[in-house]
Amino acid sequence: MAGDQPRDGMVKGGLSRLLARLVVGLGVLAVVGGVFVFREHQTGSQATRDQERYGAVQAAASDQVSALLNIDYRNPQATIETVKAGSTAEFAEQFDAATGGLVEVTAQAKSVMTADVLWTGVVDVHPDSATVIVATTGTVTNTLTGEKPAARNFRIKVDLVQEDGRWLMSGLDFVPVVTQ
Amino acid sequence: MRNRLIALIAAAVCLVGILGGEAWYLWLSDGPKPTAERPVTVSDLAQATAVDAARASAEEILSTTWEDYDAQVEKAQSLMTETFAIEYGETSGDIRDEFIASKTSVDMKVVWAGVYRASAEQVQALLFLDQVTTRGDSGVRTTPYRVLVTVVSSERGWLVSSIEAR
Repeated sequence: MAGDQPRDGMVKGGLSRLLARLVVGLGVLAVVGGVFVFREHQTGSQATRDQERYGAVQAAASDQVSALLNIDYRNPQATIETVKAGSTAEFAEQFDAATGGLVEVTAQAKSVMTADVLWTGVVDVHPDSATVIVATTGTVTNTLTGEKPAARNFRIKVDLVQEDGRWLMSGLDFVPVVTQ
Repeated sequence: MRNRLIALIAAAVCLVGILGGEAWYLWLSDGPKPTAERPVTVSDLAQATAVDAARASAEEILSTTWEDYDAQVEKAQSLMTETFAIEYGETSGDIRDEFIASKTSVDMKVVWAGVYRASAEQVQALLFLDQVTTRGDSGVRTTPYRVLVTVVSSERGWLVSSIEAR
């Protein structure tokens, strides 16, 4: 039995060396894996910022379209100011020039238009510019509709640019029927 | 010696745990789900590819003619998930006789397409479409549409799982 002790010690020593090698090997793998995780995380953070841009441009386009299409003849200036506040200086100027007629027509017809944005789709997005399409549903009530709400559903394309961290509308088009 | 063995075993177990966590992060963790703040959770290329597939599939599915109605329904169904293909088959069957009798042809053209939500598994695309309808000799009528097309990833590529028009 006394002869078993050195043998037992040898076995434990061998096991210890084996485990030590295993731990070193696992340690190396963990470090390499850690580098990959770090790089993946860095890439993911950049991707998250890029992908959040889609949400930002959808929200900006949705807000602007919603502001434009919710207009009441009793206070059209509120709509005009909201739209201008979310537009580039150039577009705001063009819009201002066009609103004289809009206010007049709205007042004459006693028009009240309400609209909700159904969906927004990002056609193209870059760090400083984007194109978004917007589908809306809503109604208009005026003298021409006999004071009854008539459905008004629109297809709209909005161009946006980023200025000082804000997405501003630089263009807006109602998309007509194109195919004939 | 015994303490050394215990320490090595503990270290090995910890390292296996760390490696497991790293492997899960790199290969097994699910991607983030789309939200209003982050509607797209895949690369630009991935979402653009899916939107293109949605666009092409929608034009194929929604365009049909009385001359080869059944063949077109079958072709359209090949672009859909099983569930949606069954639903589409039932609707197509309901209008088949009237569609053929009235010699109707419908041609859908996508005017604009954009991504609404996109993940690795599912992409929703907003499409603006012009529907050109020809019925017998009664002329041509063009109608604007907006549809939300949902495509899901499958072994057969992107398949349409719903088309919502409003």
